[in-house]
Amino acid sequence: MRRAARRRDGATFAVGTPYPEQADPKWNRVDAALTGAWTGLSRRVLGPAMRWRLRRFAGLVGAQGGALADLDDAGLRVRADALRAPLVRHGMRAELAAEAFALAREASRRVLGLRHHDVQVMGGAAMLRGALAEMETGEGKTITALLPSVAFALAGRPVHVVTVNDYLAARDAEQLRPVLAALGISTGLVVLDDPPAEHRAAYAADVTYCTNKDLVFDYLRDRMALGARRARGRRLVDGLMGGQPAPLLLRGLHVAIVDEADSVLIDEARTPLILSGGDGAAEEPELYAEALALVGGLEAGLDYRMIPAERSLHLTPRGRGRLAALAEGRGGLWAVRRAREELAEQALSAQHWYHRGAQYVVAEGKVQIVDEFTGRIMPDRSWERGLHQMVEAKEAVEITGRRRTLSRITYQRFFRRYFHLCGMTGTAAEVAGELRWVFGLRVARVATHHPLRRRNTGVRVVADAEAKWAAVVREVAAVVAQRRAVLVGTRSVAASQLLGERLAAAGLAAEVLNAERHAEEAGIVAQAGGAGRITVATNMAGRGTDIKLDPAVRDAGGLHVILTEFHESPRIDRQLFGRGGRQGDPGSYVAIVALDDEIFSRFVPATWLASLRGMAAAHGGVLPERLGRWVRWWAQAAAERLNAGTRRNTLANDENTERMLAFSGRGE
Amino acid sequence: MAEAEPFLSASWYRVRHLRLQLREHALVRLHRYRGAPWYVITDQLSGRVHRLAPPAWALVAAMDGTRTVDEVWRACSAESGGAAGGEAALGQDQVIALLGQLHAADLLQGDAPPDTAELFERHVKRSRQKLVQNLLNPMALRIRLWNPDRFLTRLLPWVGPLFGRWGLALWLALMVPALVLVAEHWPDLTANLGDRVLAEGNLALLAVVLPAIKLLHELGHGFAVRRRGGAVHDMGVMFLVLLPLPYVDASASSGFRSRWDRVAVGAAGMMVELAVAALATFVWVSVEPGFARAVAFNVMLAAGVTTLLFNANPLLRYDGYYILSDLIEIPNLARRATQYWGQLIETHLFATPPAQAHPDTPGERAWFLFYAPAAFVYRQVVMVGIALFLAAEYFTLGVALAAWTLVTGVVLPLAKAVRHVVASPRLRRHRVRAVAITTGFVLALGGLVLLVPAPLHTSAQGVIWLPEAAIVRAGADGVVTRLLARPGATLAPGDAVSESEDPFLRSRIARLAGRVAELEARLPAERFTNRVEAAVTETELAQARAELARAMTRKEGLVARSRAGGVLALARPADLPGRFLREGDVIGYALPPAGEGQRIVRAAIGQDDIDLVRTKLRGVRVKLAGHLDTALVARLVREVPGGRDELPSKALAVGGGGPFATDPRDQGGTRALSRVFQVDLALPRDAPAEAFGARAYVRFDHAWEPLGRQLWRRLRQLLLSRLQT
Repeated sequence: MRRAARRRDGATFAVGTPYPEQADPKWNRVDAALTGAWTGLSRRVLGPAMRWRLRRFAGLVGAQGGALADLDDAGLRVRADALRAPLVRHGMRAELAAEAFALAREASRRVLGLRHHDVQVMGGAAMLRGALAEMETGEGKTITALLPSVAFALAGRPVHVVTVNDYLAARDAEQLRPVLAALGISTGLVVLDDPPAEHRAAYAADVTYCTNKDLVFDYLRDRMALGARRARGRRLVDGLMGGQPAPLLLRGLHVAIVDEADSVLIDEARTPLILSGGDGAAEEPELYAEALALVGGLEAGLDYRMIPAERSLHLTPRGRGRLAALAEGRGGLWAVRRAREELAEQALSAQHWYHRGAQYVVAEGKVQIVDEFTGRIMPDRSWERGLHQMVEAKEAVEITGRRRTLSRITYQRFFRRYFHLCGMTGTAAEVAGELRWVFGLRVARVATHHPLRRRNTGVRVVADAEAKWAAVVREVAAVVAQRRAVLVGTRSVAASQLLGERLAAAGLAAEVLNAERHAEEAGIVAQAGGAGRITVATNMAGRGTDIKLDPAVRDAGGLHVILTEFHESPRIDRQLFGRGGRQGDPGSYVAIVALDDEIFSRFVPATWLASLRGMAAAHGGVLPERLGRWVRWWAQAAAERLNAGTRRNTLANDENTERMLAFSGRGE
Repeated sequence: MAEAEPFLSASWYRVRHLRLQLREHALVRLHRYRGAPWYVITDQLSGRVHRLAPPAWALVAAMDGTRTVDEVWRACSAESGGAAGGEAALGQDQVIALLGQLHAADLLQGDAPPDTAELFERHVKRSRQKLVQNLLNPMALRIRLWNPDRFLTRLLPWVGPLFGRWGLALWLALMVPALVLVAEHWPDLTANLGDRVLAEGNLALLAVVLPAIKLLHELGHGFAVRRRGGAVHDMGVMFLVLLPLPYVDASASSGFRSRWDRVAVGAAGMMVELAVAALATFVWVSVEPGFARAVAFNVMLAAGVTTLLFNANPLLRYDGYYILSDLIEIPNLARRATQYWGQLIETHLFATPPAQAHPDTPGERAWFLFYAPAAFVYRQVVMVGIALFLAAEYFTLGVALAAWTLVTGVVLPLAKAVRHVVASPRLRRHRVRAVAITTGFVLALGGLVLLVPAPLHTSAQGVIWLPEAAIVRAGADGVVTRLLARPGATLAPGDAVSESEDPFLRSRIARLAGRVAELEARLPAERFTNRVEAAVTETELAQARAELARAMTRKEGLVARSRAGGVLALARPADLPGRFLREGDVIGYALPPAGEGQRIVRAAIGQDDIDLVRTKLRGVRVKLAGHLDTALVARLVREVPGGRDELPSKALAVGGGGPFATDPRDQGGTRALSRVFQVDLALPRDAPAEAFGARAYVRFDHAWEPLGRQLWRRLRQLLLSRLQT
């Protein structure tokens, strides 16, 4: 154990926590910069060495596996039980870990009929070494995670397998529960709406499947429940004194295996997670309506300036003067300059940047936030600092009380507290440096089992949405004519529905898969590989699920993926493209996007866009391929820069705040 | 478009429930700085001082340990809401920052048990900071040694009165006569100062005296603080440029209400030193030369000069700076000046005004504008000077220190500035503009330094020299018999100046004349008798005649004549008669009268500049010592070939007020220690009359070249000469 724990630079036990976790590492900027630079270099220099070590380990696993094939199921279980003590005593020695892997492989073969390929064993070995295994999409990451889970669980360390959504967590848990059971390892599944007792039971299992959000919220709840008296020593004393220490949900932050690690650790790390509790009635409900009325007297451009790239706006000096004049005579918060200006800015934001149907929906007389990332409704979440109330005032629903923040934490801070953090992803190349210096995660690239047969058929940038949808419909029709299957990714629910209608109008029957039809997801995905099948999906839907191809479709060229709007990161584009051409299947993808897509209007100067439109018109409505690639690169680079900056700021602010808040005692 | 700093904070939940109050050892006083009220909190244990504006104080004052932070903040916001457009109300983030600051200073106490781990961490961090500070500034390492508080308190009853009103009177009574004495003995004191100070024995003496005096200086600060009720907890040794000197932490003085008290603390050290210097002056005046007098001299030097040169200078962070900032009532002048400049640049160039402008008054801004650049430039100059000095003394160490100084003094600040421009989240909206302006500025500066030619000139000194014709020389070897013209007489060209005699020449002429006569007589006879003989005699005669003519010319030469018109000047006219002069020896000069004749300035040029004069000369201007208001356009007529170590005149040696150091072993006093090149410059005809040998200041204008190349040339020469490589 100690070896694994020590591998993370300077890992130490956190002080003043109820259960084992790692103390927040103290990094300075020099370390960070050096590590980032070294990571870039070491991927090239040490990558081969690491792959060699992993391959040797895979060989060891293979050698161990031979003996296991002859055992019966009970014998397998006995071998697993016999392995526990040496693992606890000696830690993750190579031969012990290899045996654990071999057991997992054998159990998987018997129960699921899936025997791990060598590349999967190598991916598991990389994770065992605290690295992020970078595996092509469709290489069977779910069962890869099984290998280190088994090894760690046999060593007695609670394992959290973290996925991005409930569906995947449930699916993985169901699929692997029998395999783990065959080795005497218990499985827990955290379901969002379950009562705390169920959560506690799930975390008590050897291997727990959960989503990142549930996990962090449970962690925060633990800390909340304990308040200031949360150090283990204090809890023991309280127990001895006859007190009833609050029961905890988690058992400590030992091992986290993060699936789709780049989504969790990078994309979602932009905003901290906030556990909040409302105290019912709003303090001054009329305040928000007043604010909305007052800002009606301000003019865009003159009194305030909008910044589309950041989706923020700011009062100009003139606007401040106007606002002061408008608020003249009103008491309370209106008399305080900063409070007044903040109210005004929130009111303006609510009017300009938050739109019903996009950022939120109104259901059951309540404003409910829509996760722009997944397109799902997030119940019981609210915006901070009065914005939520402002939106409620705008929609003229009942103003809820300001939900008070009870606790908050960033993903960066949370996951760094694990003694052993590892994960898998298909797309980590761009963010390897950041993963290394923020989380201490190395990225180990694992080769594909089958050679890749995915063809890129280009980037088509057209002038506007109208032209784009027309082009998409034509493309779909052409591919369907070849008896292949088509998957069209859209960025919003609205777009998926629009496209569904347009396809229907063109006589093409399409299945529309989006957050609103979440329940049917598995069914739709299962059939998406049929010949002539058209599936329109919001991009995040169906992530992590396999689209099984009909043999006929495979022969016709496999799944064709159409991307209709670039994401802010090429990684996410690749995740969508990765739906096709899985496990050696043939496949192809194309991007058909329009110059009035949000990413272009936010990140490319308007004057350039105008001239690009002119060029597109001159080339028959489609930008020349190289220009299209270039404008994509420009916009995504700008967006990535902005997002990386935001993440860096989140982390830096977090650390700053923590320093400043030292007087309030520790913790979130 | 400054972003409004949010009024509400996302971290408020962490502090809202806390019940905090100031610790008991915090002493709060109301100060006025430039008319504005400020609350100054003194930590009586550590002596550290914090300054709060009234709104912040209102909040801190309302924290009594029973109300929660949230309650206090709400009450304060409601109260200040009405006043001045609600400008004064603190946002939650500001409250958190304020509390964090107070906590970091150990001034807060709350209802929650203190976090011990955090306390230790803070301690470790603080020690680290000190270490880093020392590393970043190797020229001023600080090592804390002693808490002098008890010592000072015990001695205070005896020494204290000296640091009050009466002490000042006594000090003045000491200083006035001492100053009078110094003025009286000024020439004695300053004669050959450099040599006396840097003599080896004296350096040893100085090394003993200086720390002792500086100890008194620091104790002066300490007593001044203690007498006014402040605490002094920190004393130790500072290695200033490797020289161990004591220091004392007198920062408690910032808690004093009266600015004069604060100034008194700042000035106390220097006043003690000057008093010591005054006493030493009395000793120096009254005792005979000897060891005591040498010590007294060194004390005067160490206490008087170093104080005035270093401590009193407000551009360095020593006493003068603190006195200045107290006098003008701007605490933290240096830091705030730098911040103000940063803010100016961000606001006007990067269009990113700060969320909250520093509340500076116009008077303060004027100081900031001036102070930051002046101090920066001065500090760099001092640093480079020290580094070069050290490099000359201890090569490796010096170069290492110089490099380190360069890194911390120039490279790090620049890198920080660049990083701010490139990466600061504050600038994100105007990053392109900020980067463009910065790049543009750097390029412009680089272009200016490296590409744009700038005037280049070198200066030298010379003396009025005469044209060759104006020098009266002996025409032939001989003993002077008499002067034919008086010194001061006006001569026309060709006038005789002196007459010499050469007895051998006279007899030789007689002999030759006889021989000519003999041959002339013999020739006609032989023409008829022997034609062959006649031809020989004819040749002999021609030879004899030629020899006679030559001897006659030499005889002519015995009368020395002036070849130019002018006023005769002779070096020592009375000694001339009876002196033997060789042909070509200088007898005297025919000085041309004003406005006539061509006059020459012979200038001596050091080896650093000669190349420029040779290859890049565009013009020469000369100012004569007696007529410094007129610059004369001169012309380079010749260069005396080859470098020599001889100066044309003593006037160009250091002893004579010139730039060249001479070899003290040289009797003539004109042998320079480095190579000297001489050039002759012709003055225009209308140049004012000036005596031969008078000093002339010469300015060579060279072809313009970029400042970078000029600097590089000088730096190279400097390094080469300093480092003797």
